[in-house]
Amino acid sequence: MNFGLYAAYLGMRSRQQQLDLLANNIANASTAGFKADRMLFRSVVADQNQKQQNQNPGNSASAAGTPSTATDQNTQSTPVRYGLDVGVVTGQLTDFSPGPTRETGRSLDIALDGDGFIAVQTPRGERYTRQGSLTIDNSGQLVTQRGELVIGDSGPITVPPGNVTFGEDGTIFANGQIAGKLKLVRFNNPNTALIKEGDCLFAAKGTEQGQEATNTRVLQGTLESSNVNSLTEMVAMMQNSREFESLQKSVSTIMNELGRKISNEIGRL
Amino acid sequence: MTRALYTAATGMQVQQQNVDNIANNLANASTVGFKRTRLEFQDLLYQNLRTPGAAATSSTEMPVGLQIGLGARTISSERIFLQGDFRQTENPLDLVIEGSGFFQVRQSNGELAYTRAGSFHLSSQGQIVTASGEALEPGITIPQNATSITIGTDGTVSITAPGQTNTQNVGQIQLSIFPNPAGLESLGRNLFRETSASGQATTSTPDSNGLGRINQGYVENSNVNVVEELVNMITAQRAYETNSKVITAADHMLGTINQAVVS
Repeated sequence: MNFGLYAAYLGMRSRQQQLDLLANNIANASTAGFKADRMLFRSVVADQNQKQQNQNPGNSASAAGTPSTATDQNTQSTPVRYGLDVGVVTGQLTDFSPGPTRETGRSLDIALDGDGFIAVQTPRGERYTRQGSLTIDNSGQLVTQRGELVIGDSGPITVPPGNVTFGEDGTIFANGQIAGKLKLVRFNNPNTALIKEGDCLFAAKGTEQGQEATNTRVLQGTLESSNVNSLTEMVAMMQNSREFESLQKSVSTIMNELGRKISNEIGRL
Repeated sequence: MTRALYTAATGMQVQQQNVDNIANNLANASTVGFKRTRLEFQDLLYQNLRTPGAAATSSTEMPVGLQIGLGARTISSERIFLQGDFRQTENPLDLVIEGSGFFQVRQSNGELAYTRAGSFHLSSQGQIVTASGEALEPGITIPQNATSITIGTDGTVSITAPGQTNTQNVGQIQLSIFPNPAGLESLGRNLFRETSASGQATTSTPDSNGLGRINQGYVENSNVNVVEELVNMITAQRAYETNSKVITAADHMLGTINQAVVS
């Protein structure tokens, strides 16, 4: 009985975390270059007897996104399983799919067509961003809106006043002269290689090193909008709320049942 | 739960500022020399509940982490210095800059300011001034008896006096350029002030150093695109609405918990 109560609690807790995540996606629906997050759920096996039979009791090593039952089937000897498929949160994946691009006409707005990132210099080291609304600081260097230096092939890029043109490969021309070339970096598996740092920056935390993004095109005068789809988020939020409500109903049912039993037993005494 | 509430609140605040900015752009859709602004947004900090790559067992590691973001904020209002459309007025003191320069004017407090709004007038002393009275710097005085004023593409101001065939040179308009015009501080009245972010002004004669040429008899319209602003307004309004729905959802979930406690 307590078992079900705990299952409902775990389910409710993960729904709360899911809402936190959806709220962040929705809040960033207008943030250029923002990438939406998706919550990953997994089931938990909490039955004590089962755990002892399991060779791999933790189950937490099962790769996210792959059904955890695959490992369960291999290791479990009994067909009856008291796994609580309410789902607890195992992690979050960032959706690195491109957001829609929109025309702005501003010469320092760039969007990346491909899986590359713009490398920028921060006091904490090299960071990566897809937010291409660049600007120029007082010494004529190409920077982001927060003043982080954009890294070129040979250090920061200085752009003399005048006409700035970006080539598709990231070469920057100022008044027809080559001023530098953007350092575009890509990762084979950005989800394990990068973590979000806020300010639309990603930090490389995994073991994978970034490679030169050769197949990424630079589109001048356009900006990549956030890839958050309000409709999807709303639907997910509605579903989330309803699931939460159902779980709460289970809590009520279990509590009522428990109360009834207790009063019956007491009645017998 | 309270995270979602505050996150949604940051989203609403961002959209509210977005609408404020759009309102200002739309209000200035007919302001000569006005440059529209655009707000830039960024995501706030992330709470790292679990770092990706953390060891799950001695031989395996977590392929993904758990990071929950805490919302959005406005990072800057970027002024977009795109050229506005030119409108012909035939007024000899209406000037446009065909390029990225600024006119230099002297404010009443003695400080220099810069403007793209080239609809100039004459003061009672015959000085060339803006509509709000700031004199062009270096100052140019047009003699009272002048019958016509001609301003060349390089900024040379010449007049014709009655009974004379030769034109007479009375001054030279200078233009300024900045390394980062987006860093200029807006003063209102179409004026901008130099800041440490904009860099130092380089002043010289028009039609040189990428300053742009001066065209007489035209004004530069506002570069606000009304349709674009309206589309932005609709998106902002809808995003605001979605954020408020998050608050409703969070509130609903909190209500559900309370209900469970009561029953």
